Formats: sequence, structure tokens, C-alpha cells
Amino acid sequence: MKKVLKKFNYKHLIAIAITLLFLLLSVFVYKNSFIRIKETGYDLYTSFIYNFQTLSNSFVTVPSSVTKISSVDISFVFPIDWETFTKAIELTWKALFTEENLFAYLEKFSDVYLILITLAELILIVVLLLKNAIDKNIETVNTTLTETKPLKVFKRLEDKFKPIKKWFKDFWTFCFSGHYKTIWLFIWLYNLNVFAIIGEFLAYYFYFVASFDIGNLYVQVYKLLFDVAIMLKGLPLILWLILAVIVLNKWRKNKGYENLEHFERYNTGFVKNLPTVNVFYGLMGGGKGQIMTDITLTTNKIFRSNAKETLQKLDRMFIYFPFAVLEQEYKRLVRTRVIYSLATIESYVRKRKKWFERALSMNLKKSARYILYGYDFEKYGLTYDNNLYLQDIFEVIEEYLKAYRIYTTVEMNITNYAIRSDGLLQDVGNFPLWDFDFFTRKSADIPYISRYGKILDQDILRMGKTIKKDNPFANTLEYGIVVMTELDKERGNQFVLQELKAKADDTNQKNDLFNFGLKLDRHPSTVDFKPYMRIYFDLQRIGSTNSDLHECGNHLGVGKKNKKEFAMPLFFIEEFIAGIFDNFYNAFFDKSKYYHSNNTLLIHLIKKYLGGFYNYYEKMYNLYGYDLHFLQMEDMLSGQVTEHPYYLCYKKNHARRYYTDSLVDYFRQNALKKKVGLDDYPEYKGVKATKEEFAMQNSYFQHNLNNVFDSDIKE
Amino acid sequence: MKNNKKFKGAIVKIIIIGVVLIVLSYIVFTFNNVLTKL
Repeated sequence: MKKVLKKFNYKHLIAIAITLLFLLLSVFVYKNSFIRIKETGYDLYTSFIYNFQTLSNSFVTVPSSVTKISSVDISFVFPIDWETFTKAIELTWKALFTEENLFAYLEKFSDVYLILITLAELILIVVLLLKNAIDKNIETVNTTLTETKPLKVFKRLEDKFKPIKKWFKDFWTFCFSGHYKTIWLFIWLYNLNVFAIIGEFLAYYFYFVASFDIGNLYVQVYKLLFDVAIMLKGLPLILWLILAVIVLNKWRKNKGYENLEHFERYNTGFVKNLPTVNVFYGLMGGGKGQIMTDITLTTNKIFRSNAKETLQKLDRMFIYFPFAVLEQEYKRLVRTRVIYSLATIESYVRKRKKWFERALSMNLKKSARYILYGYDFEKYGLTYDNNLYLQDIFEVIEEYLKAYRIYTTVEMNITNYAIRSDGLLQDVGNFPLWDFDFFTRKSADIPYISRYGKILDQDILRMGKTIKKDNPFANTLEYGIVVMTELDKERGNQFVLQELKAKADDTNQKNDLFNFGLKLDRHPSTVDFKPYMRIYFDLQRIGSTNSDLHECGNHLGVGKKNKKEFAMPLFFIEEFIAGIFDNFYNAFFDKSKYYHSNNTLLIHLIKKYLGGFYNYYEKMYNLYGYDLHFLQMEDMLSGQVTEHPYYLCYKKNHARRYYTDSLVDYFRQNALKKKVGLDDYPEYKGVKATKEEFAMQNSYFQHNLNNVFDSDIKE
Repeated sequence: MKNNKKFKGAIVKIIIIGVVLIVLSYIVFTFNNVLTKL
């Protein structure tokens, strides 16, 4: 018993007490809701009977009560019939433009406007006083590294409130993750008369489909407004406002996610239509690396989706074939290294086909069935007619396994810089499913769900000589996404290559058949007529690499874009606050840092609340922000350039996908070997540099000048 | 930190919402006034 009591969470008692309180409110405060529920129940009953009797052509014994108004007594001023309503509208229209009405309005609302104006003035005065106080407080120099007393007291108070805050947070999670949330929602839907509104709608529906009584529509509008009035009177204005803010916030966040997903779908459509080889070009900092990385991530998704489509199609052809058995057999063959490529799949299946045919020729039907994974071929056949040609079961098995291999390949980015991908292959032992949701990943999960791509050994792209003699990886590339940054630094143009000889003994750019391989890459990667090979290059100038190479691919110019767009609606209040306080916060940062090395309560509070707001603002941009790029795509046949929008969403692209300074390690390692840095570089002593200072430039130009003048002096 | 383009847009939106609220409150007031007199 003691153990049971120990295990019992005392929060249940509080939650039950709150539930009882809500129920008491239902009984003693929200009496009108009870009356309305009773009336609605009767309306529903009579409407249903009316509907049934009318539609079955029986005599109507119970007239529907839905056409009658409620007996609840609340102060509700609204025309009870259509004639009065139209008259009221007419009079309102006339009154709108009368001086008398305008003055009456101003008189009535003058208090509200006066309060608002006074409030605005007060805020302004407080802000100005605060600014003055802040300036005075901050502009006193303090170089001690200690905290002020008020700050220490504040921190101590904060520590005391922390457990209380945490308790409320935990209690909130406790209530809203269990059944209490549903119970409370139910009670409040009842209290606020929502059930009556839904019930009345259904009652009128049953009545209307049998009576077509359009004339009664106005009464229903009146009843609806009456019910809404009961609902609005159920809570004070401030609670309605808080509720509205919560609901709007939830709605805008969902809408924001929907927009991001829409952008991703749009990008996917664009990337799907790209050819095998693509060259991204543009100025430094234009975003070509970002776009190329982003497109690589989307291509991953497309390849898996295409492979799944093929698997689905093949699965439909032979519905009695045990594909699950085939998948398990494939996993075993991969474990035992019988299968490690598309080529080994083909070889294995063809071997199995021969065994099958031999067994059939020897009339060993049981063995033949065993070879075909237990498939009853005698009953269900060995071919499928797709109205174009007959497809043999072994062909289907071969294509299925190849598509399955591509679908289940966890990492297919082969890159010359690390790209982080976090697609999740969920597998409970049967058919695995991919989760490529780029927008709901949590930052804390990144270390556990990330992979960084296969290292691109460029010998796999060379059909001729390779840099590493007898490289075991050469000629093994079948499918994947090859990504190469700085192509122009790797493969030169014809001027750079003119010294190189194709017949040279060493491997060079003329005898490695790199371009030749590129042109044929689609062939080994094709499964069920879909190629699973994409090659993405980036460079600054198209002309820096040879035309045979860059003309193999589609040219995509990167640079034109609308920066810092936002996908979530109704963010303007935050934009407004961010704009208003921007100058103040920047000035505050400079002053507080310049005058103080210690920390004061005022500085702490501004950093905590205003700085906290800017953190929130930036976090929202990280989640919902995006750059809208306009990629310039050049048609290789006509030379025409067309513009294609591409949404570069920050949550997908900026989440440590890659480092823009991917080659930094070379520079850092070199710099570490040195004993000097920028601080040690010599400086000019005046606006006119001296000859000795020029000599320090180690420049060809200065060196030549020096030589010329030195020789003049000698002559 | 602030997004200048969005800040200007926010000011315009706040002004529009303010005007709409004033107009709406005026219409509702007038309608209510008429109803009480009817």
C-alpha cells in the first residue's frame, strides 16, 4: 500500500481539484449553457423525427422546434425578424454619415481614446525617463569585474523563483500530456456553449433537407448570434484576448510549417527535372555552394522516392510473390558480402534464374519453387503483360533488388567537402520507410542522426588512368550524388591543359578520361528506366574549365535573390518591436560594453528581456526564414536564359549542413607553424610610402621598379 | 538585427489594422444605437 502511495503522483490531486472546480462552475455559473443544451437536444430530437417522417411520407406528428428561439434570458439586442433587420441596416447606413451619430460615437469612445492616448503618452514619458536613467547609469565608468549588489539580490530572487516556475511548467506538461486536457476541453466546450452551436446546426440541417424552409434561415442566424453572445459572455474580455493570442500563435506556426513544406515541394519539382550533370556558377558569396548543397539534400529525397515508386510498381505486378522474403534474403546476402553493388545483384539473380531453369528441365518443381522464394509459379505464372511487352519474374526480381538497394542506401552523397544529411531510415524489420522532414528536426538530435557523406576519391570518376595505381575504387561508381565544389581549381580550361600530353606516362587531365566517364554515368545507374546518378559542380567562372566538361552539364547561374523572407504569417508585431528597439539596443550594447566591465542590474535586465526578445526574433528567422533565389538556367541548345525560383529555407540549409570555409584546415595548419600574425605586419609611417616600405611588399611591380632605378643609378 | 523591409511593412500593417478597428467600432456602435432606438 505504501509503495502504491509512493508511486501516486500528487499532481493528480491538484488536477482533480481543478476539474471539480470547473464542474462547479458548470453547475453554478454556466446555467445558460445547460438550458441551451437541453433546448438543443430537444431541437435535434424533433428535427430528426420531422426529417424521418417527412422523407418517409408519413404524417408529421412532431413539428420541429428548431424554428423557435431560445427561452434563455440574456441582454441581447438584435432584430428578431428579417424586416426589422433590413430596416435597422437602412437606418444604420443613414446614421453613419450624420454629425449627431459621429459626435455620439466620439462621446461614447472619448474615454477609451483618452485612456489610449494618455497611456501612449505615459509609455513615451516612461521610455524617455528610462532612457535618460540608462544613459546616466551606463555612462559612469566602472572597470571592476564584480557584480553590483542589486544584481546579486535579483539573481538570488531569481534562483528562489526558479523551482516555482519549473513546478508550474512541469504541472502544465503533466496536465496537457494526459487525459486532463481532454476532460477540461470537454467541460469548457460545454461551458462556453459550443456544443449547443454544433447541435443547433445539425438540428437545422435535418429540418432543412426535409422542409427546404429558406424563410427560417434568418431565425437560425439570430439563434447562432444568440448562442455566440452566450459564449462571449462566458469569459472576461482579457481571457478571450489571451485565448485569441494563443490560438492565433498556434495557427500561424502551423501555417509557417505548411508554407515551408510547400516551398520544399516546389523545389523538389524543380530538382526532379534537372539533368544528370549540373554546373552552378556565380560570384564568391553569391550562394552557389548553399544552393548546390540544398539541391543535393533534395535529390536524396527524390532518389528514394523514385526507387519506392519502382518498388511499388513491381510489387503490384506479382501480388502473390513473397517480396518480403526476397528483402530478407537480400539483407542476408549483403551481410555475407555476396551482394555489394548493382552488378553483383544482376549476377546473383541471373545465376538463380539458371538454377531455376535447370530444376524445371529436370522436372524438380519443388526445388524450382524453393529457388523462386516459395512463389507458386504454376498457379500465378512467370510473366506480367504491361501492354507493351512481357516481363519475366526474374527481370522483375532483378529490378526490384536494384531499386531496393538504392532505396535502402543510407548514404549516397559522394562529395569533396562534407555535407551533413539527416534523413532517417526507419526500420522495424520489414519494409523500411524514409523520413526526410527537414523542418522539424531538433538541434539537440543533430549529433545522433547526422551523416557527412562519402569521401569523393576522384579516381572513381576516371575511366582512363588513375592517380592512385590499381585503385580498388576505380570503376566502381554505379549510382549516387557526386558533389564537387571549386571545379575550376580541379579541371582547367584548354589554355591550362595545352602543355599536357594524352600519351604521357603520368596521369593527367588529358588521359584520365574524366569527361568521357561523365558522359556515360547515366548508364550504370539506371534502374527501371530511371537514372540514379546526379553530378553537381560549382565554380566561379564557366570559362575557367574546359568546354567539353562544362557543356556536358546544365548551367545554373546563382546570385540574384531576395534575402531574408519570412514564411510565417502575422509576424508583424515582432517585426515592429525589433525595428523600434534596434537602434536603442545597438547603442546600449556599445555603451554598456565601453563603460562597464562589471555587470549591473539594469544592464542585466535589458540583456535578459530585450536581448532575449532579439534571440527569439533570430530563432524565428532560423526556423521560418528563407532566401528566394532566382536561378538563371541556360538552355544548352538555344542559349536562352530562363529564371527559376528556388526557396533556400534556413532551417533546412543553415543547420550546419556544410562549412562555407571547407578548405580552412589547410590554412590553419600552415598558420600554426608560424610565430607571427596580422598584428606583427609592418605599417606605413606616413601617407607617402618610403622606398624601404615599398621594398617590404615583395611585389613583382615594386621589384621591377627597384631594378630599373637601381640600374639607372649604376649607369 | 531588424529587417528594414519588414519593419516598414509592419508599420503599414499596424496603421491599417488601427484604421479598420476604428471604422468597425464606429459601424457596430451606430448599428447598436439604431437597434436600441427601434
